[in-house]
Amino acid sequence: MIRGRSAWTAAAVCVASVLAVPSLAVLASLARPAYRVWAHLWQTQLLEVLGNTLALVAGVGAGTLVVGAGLAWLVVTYRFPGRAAFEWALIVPLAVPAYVIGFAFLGLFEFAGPLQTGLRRWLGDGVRLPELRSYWGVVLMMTLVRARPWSPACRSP
Amino acid sequence: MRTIATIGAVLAGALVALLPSTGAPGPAEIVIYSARSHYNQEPAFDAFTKKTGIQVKIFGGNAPELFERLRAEADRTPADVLITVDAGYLWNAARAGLLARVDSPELLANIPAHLRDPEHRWFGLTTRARTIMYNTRKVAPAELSTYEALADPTWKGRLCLRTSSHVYNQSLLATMIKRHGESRVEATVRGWVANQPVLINSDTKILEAIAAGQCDVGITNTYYLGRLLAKEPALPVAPFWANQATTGTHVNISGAGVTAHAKNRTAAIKLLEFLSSPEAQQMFADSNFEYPANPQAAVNPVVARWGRFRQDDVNVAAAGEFQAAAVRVADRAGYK
Ligand SMILES: [Fe+2]
Repeated sequence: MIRGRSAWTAAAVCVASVLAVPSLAVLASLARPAYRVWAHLWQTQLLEVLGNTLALVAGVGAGTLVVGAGLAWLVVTYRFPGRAAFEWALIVPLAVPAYVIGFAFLGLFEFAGPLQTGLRRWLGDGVRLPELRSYWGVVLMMTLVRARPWSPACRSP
Repeated sequence: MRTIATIGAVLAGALVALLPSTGAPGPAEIVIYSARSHYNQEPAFDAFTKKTGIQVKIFGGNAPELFERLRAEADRTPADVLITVDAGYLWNAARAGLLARVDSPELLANIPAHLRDPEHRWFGLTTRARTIMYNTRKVAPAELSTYEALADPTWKGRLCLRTSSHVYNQSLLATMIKRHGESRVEATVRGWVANQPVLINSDTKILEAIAAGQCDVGITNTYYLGRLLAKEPALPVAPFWANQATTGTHVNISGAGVTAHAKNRTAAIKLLEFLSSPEAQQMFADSNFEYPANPQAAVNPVVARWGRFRQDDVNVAAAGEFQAAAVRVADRAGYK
């Protein structure tokens, strides 16, 4: 039994180290920094990109806190029809990569997408939905993908 | 333990499947690394096999992947031919010593000089024109003239542009830089940015945005319009041939070169010569709405309706030479 387990461990380490190769390759490139590229980035967009990242961390963090924790709390604390289904269904969005959801939402909700095209046909040419290619659009997308209810299964009685 | 053995076997199998066979291929087979998206459906390769009896084995991937792969494999590469889209990638491969010089009179005669490497290491197979697209209900062709003129404030809020991170617009800027120098191109790009363009990372989506009226004009490759028109002939979008009175419309290529360590060099050259012949060029032109690189081949009827135009005859190698400069100009001008 012990031999079996250590063989599993060895196999797991093998698989993990193969999967780690790309990340290690990226890290290794830091050992030979391209100074001219970094200088150019510093002069042009590095600060802005870092700022965007921090703003997204704040926005998506707040979003997932409210949506994720909120849904988890509802599912754990209350009994309502379909609660058992929600307990696992709420984890499903995690299985879809963020960019896939992003593409799908963009395709549906952008100006040339079916929803806005329909609205314009129905209500007139001036009708606009908020631009999805924006800070709030990105926060919304990433929140929807990342807002996994915080481990409801562990806390359910 | 049997499970472990099974996992091991599966992993080994997966690795073998990932690697092309490095054993000596038979004389009647050549291996291609191709970054053209429909690489396994292109009729020109079947026609080549039918004609010569030489089997063609194609491995796909995007251009940077295939470049890294060729470089990593060095003289052990099974690849005889590299095919990629965008001249910049071919230029990079040639500069890294991955492509060999081919002095074939047939290739030199079939492919115009500006669509091939001056040192004969790569050759254009198809030409892709990147030009101004406009909504036919909102814009009169007389309002349009050059890429540079889209920097005029009259286009404020009316412009859709591809994001600058994509190679297509980098190549456009690179050839402009070759012609006019960095500072003039930077002024143009600043003008584009001042017009608050909608940035979209897909030529197809730009054309859809123009059709839907989100913007009036944009810049895309023409074959994307060909594909959309094939599905929806009434689409209110048409190409305007940019810069006809100045430098000519920007063109790029998909093209090919024989690898530096090709095991079947003779057969590989034969393939390139065939692909540049009017017969194969016709198949390329018909399957993707591109322009044949060989001017003897006719364009697709859908494409023919857009009329003839003058190409910018600056060598497409500029897309590689000035790519870094193009990225720097875009960054400085705030073009995302
Ligand atoms: Fe393309």
